[in-house]
Amino acid sequence: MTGWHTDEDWLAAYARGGLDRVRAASVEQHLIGCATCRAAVAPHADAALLARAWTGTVDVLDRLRTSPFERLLTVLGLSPSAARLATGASAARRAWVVGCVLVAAFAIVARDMDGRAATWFLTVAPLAPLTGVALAYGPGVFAMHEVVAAAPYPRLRLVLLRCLPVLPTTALLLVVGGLVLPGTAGAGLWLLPGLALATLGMVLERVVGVRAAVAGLAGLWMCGVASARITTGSVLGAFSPAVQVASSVIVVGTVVVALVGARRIRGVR
Amino acid sequence: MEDTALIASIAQGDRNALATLYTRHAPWLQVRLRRRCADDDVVAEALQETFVAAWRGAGRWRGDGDVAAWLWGIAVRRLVDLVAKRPRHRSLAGVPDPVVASAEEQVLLGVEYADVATALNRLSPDLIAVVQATVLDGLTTREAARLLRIPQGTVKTRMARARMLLREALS
Ligand SMILES: [Zn+2]
Repeated sequence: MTGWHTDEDWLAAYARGGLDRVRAASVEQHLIGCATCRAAVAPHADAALLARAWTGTVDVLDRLRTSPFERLLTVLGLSPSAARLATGASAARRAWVVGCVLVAAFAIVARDMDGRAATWFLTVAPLAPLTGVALAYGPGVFAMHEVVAAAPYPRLRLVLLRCLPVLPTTALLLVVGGLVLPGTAGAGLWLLPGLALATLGMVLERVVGVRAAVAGLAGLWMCGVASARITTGSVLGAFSPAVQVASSVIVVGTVVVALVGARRIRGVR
Repeated sequence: MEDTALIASIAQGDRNALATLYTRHAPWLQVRLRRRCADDDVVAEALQETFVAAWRGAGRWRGDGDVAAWLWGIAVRRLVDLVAKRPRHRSLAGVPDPVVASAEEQVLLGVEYADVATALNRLSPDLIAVVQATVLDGLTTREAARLLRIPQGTVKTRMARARMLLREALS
């Protein structure tokens, strides 16, 4: 609004309820769009009432609980706002954590039956970081996504923050792998392909959306495992040195590209 | 700082940004709420719930539209809920009838009534309350019914009657 503003007498009359309906309505219509007149009406507000409502607001905010994980991150040195970004638990993510725990528990229980538990575990475990990262980060399931779209928060930093909660469960899967698979080296076999799938998921999410990215990559991975089993007779073929090297290249390459891109954006600004 | 930037900071847990938003918007919201509800306790509670809702809902802010309109949309709905919750609560303050407005005020303001204004001001308080709730506050029929404590059907018939009277007065 330029030029015309509500008359001070009108504002005073409006604030004490004296203005007739039609003029009150036109004042209200103007106030919605005019910061100058909103500020001009402020002195007519009840200061005591405003102070009371603010105290009440702060009380409610103090009572809103912070999750234990959020408090832990704050203790570890993250700023409170970063900790809040990193957690922000959604029902979908809680379901994912439960799923990972079930995968691990099943692998331990089935360990003594036959060797198949280990191969089953190796097939599924690489998908855990991918789905975890997608749930922590993708739109639709991630309420902060719209804020990020609106706010100039460094995207890479946000992604890394959001992936923090994935770490404990990943560590749990590593430990379980160590129990299930012969030799400690075997436990980490799934880790690099898992990380590669997760980073590919983050890249593809921007292009095709989070659901298509996760479903496509998961499908490709299962096909890869199946074909490895057919051609080499074991799912371990899907974890061959060549696959591990390719996975490392994907992870390192994506991180480098992201870092360079972030620096270039900062340079432009 | 722009309002939209404040909302983004609030979404990231910045209490100071919320305090700034409150200082900027709570006063006019209070004045506007006060014109719809005479009870200071209810107005204070509606304000408080509005800014708690803004704190929680800042993450869902899409970055388009006007922050003032967004806040008013929350505030008037909080008011509707609070008024509906209190069965024996004093009814809406309403706006004084133009006839009641003092002669002194008329002189002070010295405004010529346009045709539309005259026609609107001739509507009965019942009808004007419905027009205000639905047209100016943007409430749904259901929300207007809860705010005014009348059945939804009555909101619809009063709105239809107001339209008819206005059309007659302006033709
Ligand atoms: Zn103005």
